[in-house]
Amino acid sequence: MSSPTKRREMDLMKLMMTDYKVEMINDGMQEFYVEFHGPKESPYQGGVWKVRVELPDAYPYKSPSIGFVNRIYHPNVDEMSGSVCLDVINQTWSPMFDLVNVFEVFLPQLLLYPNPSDPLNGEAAALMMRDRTTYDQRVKEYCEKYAKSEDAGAVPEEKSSDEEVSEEEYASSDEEVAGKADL
Amino acid sequence: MSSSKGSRKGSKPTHNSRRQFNNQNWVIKSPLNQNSIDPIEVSKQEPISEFIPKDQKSPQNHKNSKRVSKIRRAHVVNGNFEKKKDEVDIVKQESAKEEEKSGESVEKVKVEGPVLENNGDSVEKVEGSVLYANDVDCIWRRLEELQLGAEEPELSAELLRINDQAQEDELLVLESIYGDNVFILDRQNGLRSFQIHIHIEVPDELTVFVNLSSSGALGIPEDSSPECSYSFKVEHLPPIVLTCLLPKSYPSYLAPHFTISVQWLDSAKISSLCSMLDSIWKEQLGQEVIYQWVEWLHSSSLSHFQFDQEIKLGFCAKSHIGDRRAISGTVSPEVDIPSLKNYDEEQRHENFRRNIHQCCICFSEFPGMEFVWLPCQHFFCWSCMKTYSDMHVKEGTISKLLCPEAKCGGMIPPGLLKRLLGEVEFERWESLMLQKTLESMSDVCYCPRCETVCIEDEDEHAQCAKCFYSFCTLCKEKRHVGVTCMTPEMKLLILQERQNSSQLKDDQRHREKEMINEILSMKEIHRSAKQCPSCKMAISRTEGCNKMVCDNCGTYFCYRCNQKIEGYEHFREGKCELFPPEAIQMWEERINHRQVVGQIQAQIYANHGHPCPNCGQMNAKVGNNNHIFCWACQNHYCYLCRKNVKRSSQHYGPKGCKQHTAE
Repeated sequence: MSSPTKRREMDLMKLMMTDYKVEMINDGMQEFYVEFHGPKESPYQGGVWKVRVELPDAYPYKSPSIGFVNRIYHPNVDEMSGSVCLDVINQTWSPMFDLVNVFEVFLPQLLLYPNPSDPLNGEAAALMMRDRTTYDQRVKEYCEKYAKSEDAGAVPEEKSSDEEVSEEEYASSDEEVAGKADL
Repeated sequence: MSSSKGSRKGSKPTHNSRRQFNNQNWVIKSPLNQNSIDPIEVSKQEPISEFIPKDQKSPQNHKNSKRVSKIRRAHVVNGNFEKKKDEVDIVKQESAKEEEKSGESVEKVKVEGPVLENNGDSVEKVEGSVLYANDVDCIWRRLEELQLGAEEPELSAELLRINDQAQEDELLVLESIYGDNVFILDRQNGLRSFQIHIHIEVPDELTVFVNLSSSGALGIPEDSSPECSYSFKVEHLPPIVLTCLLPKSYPSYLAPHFTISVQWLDSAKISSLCSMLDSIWKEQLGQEVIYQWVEWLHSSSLSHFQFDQEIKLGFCAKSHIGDRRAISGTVSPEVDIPSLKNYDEEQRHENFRRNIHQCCICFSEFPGMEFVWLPCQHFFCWSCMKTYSDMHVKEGTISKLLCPEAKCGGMIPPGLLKRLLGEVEFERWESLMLQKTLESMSDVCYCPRCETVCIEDEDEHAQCAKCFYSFCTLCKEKRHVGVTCMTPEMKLLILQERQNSSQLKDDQRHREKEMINEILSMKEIHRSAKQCPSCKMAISRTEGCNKMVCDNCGTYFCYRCNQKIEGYEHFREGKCELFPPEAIQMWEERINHRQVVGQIQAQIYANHGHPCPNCGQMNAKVGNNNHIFCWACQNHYCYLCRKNVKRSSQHYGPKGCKQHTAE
């Protein structure tokens, strides 16, 4: 068999070259996180999501698994788990597709043109069919709440910012108390 | 393919014919043109018959009952010629020509007289070019005419020698520049002769427009209505064949006698090319001119006709009475269009094979030979195709074993699959295909006794056509009208009992042991897997949600309740959940480390907790810090006033809420 890693390396490199922020999970090139921005001209515009990609052993002959880490309101994405159900990717997958395709073509298309016929998030699908404007609003709300760039940031960053804040607070409040006591 | 008729005299050349003279027994093997083989109609006045000894001439009955002359072939073997006189049945020959790809079926032909010398080393080189119709005799006749028509001056021995030397040098130069495309022929009556195949320089995007409506007219109509023209793109054009006979007084006095044959141009155009060559000679009389001719034909012939990006071709039924040196190979659109396309395709393939390319699946580079071409014109390297095919056959997903190109869906020919998979795996593929087809027919089942395929009647009953066993399709036992099938557990017990019996004969015992194993296997399968409600294929879920797609038949079903379902509706109705809670838990732990802790804290300190103003999840106040960081939505808020906090230094303090209060 021709070297399988060459293809993976190339795909990963291509993805990084096209200005996507990629964060490896382990060194085996099996799983990683990618920062994904909502496509323009869609209610998802401006939202930033952390997308988890897992490459199976048989990649590229088998399709990768895609999941949204932070929440997204979309008829074909499960709200709780963020999984994009396999069918949608599986059926159309070909060994010619690569990761750049997934993030440049497949995901944007999915967000721009959800498939309401077999929706994972039924409420979203129903809303989309019934009342497009409210659906758009809802999507934007979710973007505001859950898809800011901090939300899609790496976990370690969050931790440090949290600690920073509390330290600050602790420090300042102690002083305050001290101040008051004097008075 | 259509067969066109034409009178022999000075006209209708056809493709793929080979001719030979007695006197000038010079033959070029006509290669790879697999298109229509037109029978050549020969009239008695046909000059060629003069050259053929009468005893060898025998009229053959062609399919169309035309009289045809013998056609002899030269078999070019590594630069040597063996030619025999051959009595060849034209029918056999035509069909052989149609089949032959690379000269495998060429008969050896013996010939007297001068021999064709091929500069290339093998048949294949000659085959790369197309010498249609041109009856080599046609070329020679014309050259002879030219020679007879030209008056050669008397030259001194010195001048003759100089000319001869010049000619020899020139030929050497041509050979070294054009290599395989030059064929030095034997001297005709002491004169040097050669043939050169000139591959025209083709621009990147060349479209050929063929006017289809002018078949009857003499002239070619100036504009062709769009409906009547057919266009296609090519990258290669069949070469211009320039055959020259060098007179003794070339280059000092006379120009070389030449003929130009082009398969796809009509005589009028070729005549114009001939005139051009004449004027090039005139520009520098007395000097060697062949190289200039060849270069001009190579690079400027297309622009000469203003065929820079597009070639417009039309067809006339009769050939233009023009320059005798112009020999056209055109027959009719139905013949020429496919032959142009074929030539183009072959050359493109040849080019492809010679170069190194990158496979678009694995990005490794291989020489063109190692690639596999599919009928849909997509190509991939051998190892990728093999891996791809092996994977699908191994997993049984042969319905997905199509062209790997995205959105193509082209079929992979079984012959190719056989080479990719090897005998064993190919057999597996075949049986999987058969199985799939049979399974897609719902009323098909297999006889438990002889394994033949049977068709189910009404009511779960079938009778085998081979052994006449009548059985129940549910449990595969003998038909039991009115009684329900024996459950597997019962059957297992009975069989196990029987194993202990001493009365059981060996083969029967063996068979029943097999049945026991089968039932035990089924039990095991049922423990760890579910069966597809449609085709009963056992499927085990390793990860993902409860909406399953059966790989075998494509049915959707719910893993929890094993029902056939349509979509996600089933999971919204309440009873079955889409994701097993363990799976969700595991994911959440992985993405949000705070969740577990947060949730537990919320439970423990329930009276110190309340919902986050942003997302509503319960957060507990831990210790005396009133600043809460929500584990679910990462929002900062104040426990006291329940408002989101943007800057803690502004929110907490003497003027605002107290950050630390004991509870």
